[in-house]
Amino acid sequence: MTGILLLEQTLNGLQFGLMLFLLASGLTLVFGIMDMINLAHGALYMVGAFFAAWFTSLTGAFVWGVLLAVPATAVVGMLLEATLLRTLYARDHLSQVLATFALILILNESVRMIWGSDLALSPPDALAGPVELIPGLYYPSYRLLIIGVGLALAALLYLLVVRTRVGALVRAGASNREMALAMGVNIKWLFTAVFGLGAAMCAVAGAMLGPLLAVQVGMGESILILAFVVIVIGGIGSIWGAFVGSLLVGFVDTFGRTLLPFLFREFLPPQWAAAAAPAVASILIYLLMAVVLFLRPQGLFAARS
Amino acid sequence: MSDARTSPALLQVQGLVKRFGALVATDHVDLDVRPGEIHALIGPNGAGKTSLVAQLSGHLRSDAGRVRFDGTDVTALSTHERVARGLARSFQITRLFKSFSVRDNLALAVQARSGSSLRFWRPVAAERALRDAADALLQRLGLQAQADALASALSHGEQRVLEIGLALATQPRLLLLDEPMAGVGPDETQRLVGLIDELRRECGILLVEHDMDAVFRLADRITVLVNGAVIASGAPEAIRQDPQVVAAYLGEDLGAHLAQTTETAHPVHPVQTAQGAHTAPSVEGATAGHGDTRADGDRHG
Amino acid sequence: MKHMQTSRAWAWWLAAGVAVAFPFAMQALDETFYISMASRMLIYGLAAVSLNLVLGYGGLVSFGHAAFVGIGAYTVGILITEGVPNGWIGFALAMAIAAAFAAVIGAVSLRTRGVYLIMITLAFAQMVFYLVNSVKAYGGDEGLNLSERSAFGLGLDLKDDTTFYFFVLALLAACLFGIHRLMHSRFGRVILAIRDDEVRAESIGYPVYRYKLILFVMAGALGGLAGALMVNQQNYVSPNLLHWTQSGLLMVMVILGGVGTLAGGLWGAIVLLTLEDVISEYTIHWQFYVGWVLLAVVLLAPKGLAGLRWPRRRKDGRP
Repeated sequence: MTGILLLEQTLNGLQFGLMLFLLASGLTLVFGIMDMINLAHGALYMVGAFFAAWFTSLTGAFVWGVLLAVPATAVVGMLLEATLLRTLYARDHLSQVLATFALILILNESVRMIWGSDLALSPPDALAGPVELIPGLYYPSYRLLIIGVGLALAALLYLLVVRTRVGALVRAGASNREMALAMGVNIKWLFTAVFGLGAAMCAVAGAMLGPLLAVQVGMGESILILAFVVIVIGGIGSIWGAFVGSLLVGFVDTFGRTLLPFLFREFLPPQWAAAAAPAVASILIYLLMAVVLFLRPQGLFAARS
Repeated sequence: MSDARTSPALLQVQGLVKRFGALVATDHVDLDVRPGEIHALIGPNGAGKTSLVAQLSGHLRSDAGRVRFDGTDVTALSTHERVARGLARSFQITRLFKSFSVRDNLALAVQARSGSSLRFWRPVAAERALRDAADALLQRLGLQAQADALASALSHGEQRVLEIGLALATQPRLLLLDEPMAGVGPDETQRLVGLIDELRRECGILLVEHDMDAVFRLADRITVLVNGAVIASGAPEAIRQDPQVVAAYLGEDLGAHLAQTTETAHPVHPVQTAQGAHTAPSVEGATAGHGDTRADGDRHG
Repeated sequence: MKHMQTSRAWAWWLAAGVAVAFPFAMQALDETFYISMASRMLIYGLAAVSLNLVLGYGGLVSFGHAAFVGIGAYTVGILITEGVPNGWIGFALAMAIAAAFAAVIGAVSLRTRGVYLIMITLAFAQMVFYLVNSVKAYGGDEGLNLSERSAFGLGLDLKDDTTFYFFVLALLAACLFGIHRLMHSRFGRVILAIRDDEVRAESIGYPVYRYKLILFVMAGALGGLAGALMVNQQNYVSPNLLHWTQSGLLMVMVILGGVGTLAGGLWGAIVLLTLEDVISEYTIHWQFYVGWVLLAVVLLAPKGLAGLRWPRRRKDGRP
């Protein structure tokens, strides 16, 4: 296990974690402010990826694909919120789960009907090759772009939430919804905006990860669970918790998959190591979640009062 | 009443503390309840009465202090463990089993103390003993007519009666009653007062209440809580005259009551008796000195 | 009171009659394929009924129930693959292992509630999914094919569709009866009380967590039983059976059929699977239409699902 490999994995973990953050932040805000479980969040990520692939094929440029996908997905998200999801805020959690589950079915099949089961999306040619970061360490430039975009958006989100009035409203709503309501915050507008923002970030994540993970129907389901784990670890309603949780999950998952086989081979007979390593690696983040829950049931940075 | 004064304490609270962030909801409270006595806990809104009750019933973990029940330290025990030992509670905001009938609500409580409920096959309906015990309670509470009605169909006053009934059904030796008269009309209040008065024979009672008529009618002792701390504790007459107590209430409830009760042995003019006839209350805790700084403007709406 | 009993009983006898007559009718019509289809529906019905124990009666939104079904299925599948087709051992182990997982998952999850409970059960179930997925020895993500079905002796050849159908029907009926007795027993009453007001239940002396956990384990065991039947019916099991979307489908079945009712899950399973089969004849996008149906049910249910959830009990206290 060389230093180079470690650095590479660190960057991979960072890249994965940052993209998770884009999903998790929107999800935790919706949870925290509107007290709503939105299973369809992953579907928005998928919609973003499909939009990106489609726009890229229309315009011939990846940049345009992403730039157009973001507002398109945001609009879809806001439409959904204004028509359907709004009616769920007052409902019990089971109803929310079922309604948004129904939404997943509808969105998945809608995408399939419009575009088919998958679409091709490749990174721009300019970023097809690797970059030599330090002598000996070659890292795909596209992944560097992802890291850059992720960090930039995280910073923007931080500024928005911490430094603006809108952000203050969001934070107030996340920690005490009744209070925010009582203070006369124009809730409907705020909710729609928050939802749109979350959808936009999902779109970025979907568009950026599309080339790496394949743009296909159902891609949202697998990443949604990870986003949930992140939120449970980070604490519902906390963006900072989502950030820390995402990076934690990103690193644990990445290092788990690469380091565990090495570790296991040191201590276990080869056939056991070969079988056990992937199994344990895949459940590592869930074990992490269980540990965090055991120590701090509300998550690391619970925003809720 | 003299028995109550000399018997050892059934419930003993020592130095209880509870903080919510910077807010001190319970500030080193000492309290005790003797068997056969009704000990009332009064105080303005926001004084921390319900928090205190919640800590006594096990619904809230204290940050410091101890609760002894019948000689045993129960501070670390969960709610259901305390109930099993005879420490039961009724709630300020009614908590009933809405989809069960009135009789079945009581039967559930009776069932809890009649052997294990880890029975998975035999229908409960076949257990006559449970039904009979529930019926007896219904008689006592005066709710026989509504035995088969859903608990949610009762009037508010009747629900408050059932609320106490549920706690009673667990055969407690100490009852924590959290504002039983809350939102109840005058007739129902009489009924509740009569019920609670009867109960004193069977168990000690810690009664949290705002209704001063009821308090002075029922209480053997009164403790006054303001901003989480005990500012006065003792016989009702003494509390009546205590200027700190009067000031704490901004004169409204207590003062009005004072103005009405001209037949009491100690006619009261708070201002005049401040220096003179002020009888030192038997303070169980060392917090009487806080009264001056705390007593103003803490009446919360 | 008596007359209410008999009117409900009448409906049950009718359903039982139809169920028993069904395979013979299909044989007469020479449409024996439907017998196997019906078995599948009954098995999913059992899975949904087991979920209803925690979801409907317990009021606990557990989003990982498919894990228990999958564990039961894989237990039997692995045993048969390893040369142990004995059904008694297989089914007993399926239930026991599913119960064990439920005990562990429940122990951690039931300390939480609301949103956290939903997400944690979801996450744990997904964990089991990944675990199963990574075990290449038993098919990994391609699944496990079985060459034979469980053997119970007693002259039962489960390879015969009709025999298998009656086997499933008998088990389902036994479970339904058992659950019926359970909900009228002391334990069942406490569970329903906890559903109404958990704090109050604790305050009259019930160790609520313990009861929830026991219920959760029971539901897990029954789910395992459904899984054991499922792997037999399909002669195949794959990790997809444990995917969280399967848990979602089970929840859909419970809701469609009426949550908190004894056989709601069963009717929901039948309705959903029938919808799937019928719509699939016309389009591959059957999930699209099911999605709208589900949405309609959730949004338009008279008092919202909360109203349907806890059906008002009759005056005599019977559900």
